[in-house]
Amino acid sequence: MSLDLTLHTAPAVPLEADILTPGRLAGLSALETAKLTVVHGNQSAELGEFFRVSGALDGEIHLTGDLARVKLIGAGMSEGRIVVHGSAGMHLGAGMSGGEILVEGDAGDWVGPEMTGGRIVVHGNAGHMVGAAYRGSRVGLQGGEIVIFGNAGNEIGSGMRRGLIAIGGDSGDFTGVNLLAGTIVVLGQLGWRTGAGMRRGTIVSMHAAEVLPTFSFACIYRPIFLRLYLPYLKRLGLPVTDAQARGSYQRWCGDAIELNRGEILLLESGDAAAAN
Amino acid sequence: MKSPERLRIVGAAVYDPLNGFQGDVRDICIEDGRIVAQVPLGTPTLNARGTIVMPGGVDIHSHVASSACNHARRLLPEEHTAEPVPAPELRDGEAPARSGTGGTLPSTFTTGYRYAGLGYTTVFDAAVAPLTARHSHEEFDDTPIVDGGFFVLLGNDEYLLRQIETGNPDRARDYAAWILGATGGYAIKVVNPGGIQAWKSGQRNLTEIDQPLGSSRVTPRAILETLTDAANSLRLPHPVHIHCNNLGVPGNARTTLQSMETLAGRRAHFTHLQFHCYGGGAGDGWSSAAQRVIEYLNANPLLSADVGQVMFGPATTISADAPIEYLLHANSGRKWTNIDVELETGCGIVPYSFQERAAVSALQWAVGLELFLLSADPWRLVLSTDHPNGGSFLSYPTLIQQLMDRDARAEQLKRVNAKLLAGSVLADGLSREYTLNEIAIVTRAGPARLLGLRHKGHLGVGADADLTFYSRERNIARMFARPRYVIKGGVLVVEEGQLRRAPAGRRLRVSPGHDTAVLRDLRRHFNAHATVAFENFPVRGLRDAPMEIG
Amino acid sequence: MSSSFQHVTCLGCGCACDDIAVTVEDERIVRAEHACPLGVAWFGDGRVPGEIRVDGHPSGLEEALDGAADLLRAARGRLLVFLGADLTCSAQRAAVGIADRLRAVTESVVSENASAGILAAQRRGRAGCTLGEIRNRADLVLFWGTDPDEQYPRFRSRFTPLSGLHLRRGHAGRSIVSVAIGTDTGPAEADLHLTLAPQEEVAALAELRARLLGRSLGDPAPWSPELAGLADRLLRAKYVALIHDGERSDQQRPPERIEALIALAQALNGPTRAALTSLRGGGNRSGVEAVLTWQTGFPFAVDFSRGAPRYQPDRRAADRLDAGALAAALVVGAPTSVPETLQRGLARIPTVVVGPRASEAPFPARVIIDTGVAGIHEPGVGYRMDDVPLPLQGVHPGPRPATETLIQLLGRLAPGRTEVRP
Repeated sequence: MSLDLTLHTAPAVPLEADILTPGRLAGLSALETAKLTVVHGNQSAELGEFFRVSGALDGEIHLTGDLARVKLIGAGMSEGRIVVHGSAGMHLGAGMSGGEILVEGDAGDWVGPEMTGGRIVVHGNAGHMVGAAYRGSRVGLQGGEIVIFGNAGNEIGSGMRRGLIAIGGDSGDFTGVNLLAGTIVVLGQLGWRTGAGMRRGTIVSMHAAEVLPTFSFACIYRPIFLRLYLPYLKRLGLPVTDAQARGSYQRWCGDAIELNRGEILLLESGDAAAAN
Repeated sequence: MKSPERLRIVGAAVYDPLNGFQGDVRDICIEDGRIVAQVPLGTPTLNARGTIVMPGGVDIHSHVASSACNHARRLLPEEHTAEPVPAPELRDGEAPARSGTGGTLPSTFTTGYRYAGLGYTTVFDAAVAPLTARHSHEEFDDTPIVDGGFFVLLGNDEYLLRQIETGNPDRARDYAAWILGATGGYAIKVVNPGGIQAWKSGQRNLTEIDQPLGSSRVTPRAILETLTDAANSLRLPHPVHIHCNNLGVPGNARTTLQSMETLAGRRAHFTHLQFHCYGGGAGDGWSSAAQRVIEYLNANPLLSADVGQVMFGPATTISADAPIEYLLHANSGRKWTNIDVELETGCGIVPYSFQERAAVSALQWAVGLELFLLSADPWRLVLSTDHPNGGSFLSYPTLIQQLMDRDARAEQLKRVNAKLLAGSVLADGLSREYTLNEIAIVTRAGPARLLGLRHKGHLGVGADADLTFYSRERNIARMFARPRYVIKGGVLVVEEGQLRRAPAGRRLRVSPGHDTAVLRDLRRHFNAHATVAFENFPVRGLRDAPMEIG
Repeated sequence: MSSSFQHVTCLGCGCACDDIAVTVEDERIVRAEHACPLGVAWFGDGRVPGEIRVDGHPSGLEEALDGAADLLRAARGRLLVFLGADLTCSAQRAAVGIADRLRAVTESVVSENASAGILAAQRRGRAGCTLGEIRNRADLVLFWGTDPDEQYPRFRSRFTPLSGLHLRRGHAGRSIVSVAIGTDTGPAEADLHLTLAPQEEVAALAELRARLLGRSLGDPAPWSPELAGLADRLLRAKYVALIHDGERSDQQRPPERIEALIALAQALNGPTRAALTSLRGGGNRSGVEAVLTWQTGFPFAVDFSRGAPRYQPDRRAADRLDAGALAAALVVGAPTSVPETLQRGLARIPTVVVGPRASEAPFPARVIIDTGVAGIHEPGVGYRMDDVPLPLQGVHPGPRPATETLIQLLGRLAPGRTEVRP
């Protein structure tokens, strides 16, 4: 049994729906849930004006419809599960500390900003600022996992301090900008200026990439931790190959103008032995 | 409903240290914004039974309305994002209030509402560059309720230093007088005398009070003496307000004592004293030198100070002391803004946080409390956190609790990293507890007297009708955090703990006389070196007249 | 009748020169002495329209204010308040008060480069100075991809003349480095010239910073020997003034360069002293940022729709207009300062314009109230590009002042227009 919300009227302007978390909806009947206030443009409205609500919450909320204009789904949640059968709007899971969000379609900009725990999985594409820090803030993601099966935009993981971000497709520019620590894995192509300003942490890509001049080539090696991380991502459904898990990677150290303890790992060659 | 012009308040226990009341239950009468002896029968009455009443709080040193504050606000969008503050709901008929944001450096409307909500009715911005004085007036115009004023930075001013170099103290005095009048300021501020000039010129800093600036004859000692004499000979209501060299550096108590000794026999105010009371030294660790410094202060009745207490939690360091801010940035890695201000001063800003588990933060907290608890004269050692440097002004109620309740102090002491507290007088168990009367002195009567504000800090006839009513409570922090009533200028602004009215406050400023001969020389100086016209420098059209001096 | 005004402040660009001598004859400004061509154009002859129109018909002020208030109150959905150019700070303060009351989204004259600079400075802080420090102290001035002469004509003569209070006399006192990037060239006369392609700019800045910090680098780039030379010069200077244009640039230059410039200026303060100056445009746009910051905590992109200021630099008004998310607009200040992308969107929603030359707005507006220009008709305070506040004078009789008009409009907007309790 789960709480089901199906979009019946598309919002004309973005809807701010930060009440859509298992924590906030706990103990409410479908009727009570439908009467909750959401912010629509400059007005307040009832959730029921946009969603048909049925079922009961037993830790899971299912949202159905094109929710690209519904912002802040799962913001601040600490437990439970939200499944979006469709696309989700901006600021998905902002600041969440636990639980899981699964989006079958695309997500907008700002997936999981300043998250401290939990997991977000987006089967489609995501926008810019995945797992990023808010304006002026030094620290972005502090824990948890974000997995995007499709492509993602710029500034993924900006200011990240801990946790894991995995992109199945391509990432935009400034992946891992100002990274403090943590791991970002991009199975597709990286954009420009990966790792600018990174202090520690690891950015992994399965393709060659142009690296900033303040990064220095260190060696080619087989990182052991990838033999744990990449199969884990494979179990989550990402198209990771064994060759990648066991392969050789170029290691680039930087950013020299910061702490210089970060690394960018670029797949040099899949492990031929593993392919056999 | 308009606040009545005449009001009688009955039933409150009065704490008015200047006039000798320590809890006496007496009527207070208000008319036209002032305390009066009597009001006619039938005057509306406010029943304040169950409360104690003190004069409105006076914050002698804060950073609330300046160009530097605005650079700091701009640096901290994450704090403002985390704390949006909707407009308070005022009474019908009042002009609607304004929304804002909080954090360590709130927006201006929020600042005014919050100070008033705490029962503070007068606030001074402690550091304004004369070139940007007009900005401070604009910000104060948007800071409701509280009466405000500011101190102008002169300790690194090119023109002033030239008068010291050429041995011209009279001209230095005339310049100080002119600057105060032209800027609409209230008092003379000195920050790291000579050190900011050194920062800008490549010498980086001055660390000894007899160290010359470059190849000149100007030393910190000379600057301190010149400006102290200028303030005293101009008979300014508040003496020179001094932030000593070597702020925040282990072993700096030596510099502080030297600075005090050089001004022996003269009125002078030393600000955020806690940051200047460290023993130890380079390679020698940190320790508290509060006892040494407070003993000197106790023994020299012309000197005064405010504590600059550190409170655990987030802070923003904002200071004209640019060299120390650079060091803080270099050591902490936190983001940093530096603005050099032509011909006058500098500005450095670094967000910070005082942590219980950090030994140095714990020492700083202890040093501040030691100053309070070892002080022999609450009239001369008053309360401040150098907001937001040592912590937000919202932490004043917690600080008051730590002064009045030794158990609360002990609780906090248990939680801190005590590594540097060996030999600390606080750790040895200072048992003194401040009384309500002493709190009334260090938060209102004392600062008002030190500032020369004759109509503030007391509840005698003729005083401004600024009053704060606290409901008696066992939990002191709660008691002081939410006054039941606050009256400002005779207007009931807080009722039952809620802000209900937000009238504009006044500007407190002075305009001392001076020899007009200085103007010719100043015009030459502006023409040669300034990038604003001499005629455009003074702030004109200020609504409130300057205070009388004398 | 002739009158003259001394020490008038010009808002033609962010230099805010306050030494202009204005002569007025027969109600026309006939001379603006010391003003550069931009300034002369900005002063004009002082004559501005004084119209009030509602739905195209001439109207009285009271009627127009009522009409404006009705229009704004009746709008179903979010409102936009655009803070345009040529307003005094008191008018700007009143306008932000209106936005607060209406729970509106604000937008202002902030170019893309300027906003990139603001955001980067919020992440890192910045090392800056007031313009007089450049004049008095900078023994090395580095024009990075900008020649101020065209858009800020008096900048160099006022702020980088040959002499300065703390400089050695003569040419030895101050050296100029001119870096050209793409089509953005620096001044022609300089002691050292460098050229970079736009795609090299960020990497070059990173390399410069690495050299200053003594960090080792990967493979040296082709420009490395030149940069090594520049780094040496920077380290030997006593006070480096880095100048770049905070408004315009060759389109090919990446916006990330601004953060790299900020980081470079900061890093230079270890081995020596340095400050970065972002050249900013006129019309008191620096005043808008100052006012927004002290009243709301944010310098631009302030959204009041939840009842308290929120920061939305990633979702600008043009995007919202295109998404149909704005129901009506109030443009305050010169309507020509509204960016074209926004003008197109404004044509689709009911708009009120209050400001200088409102009646000549390049987009349709239902209510139009002409006011004076800050610093020509209206006294008050205006900000220089380095955030120094200067007095503005009224030298010419103009139509109704913007500040009073906006305060009256504010008075007509009932409090608590919408109730939002999220």
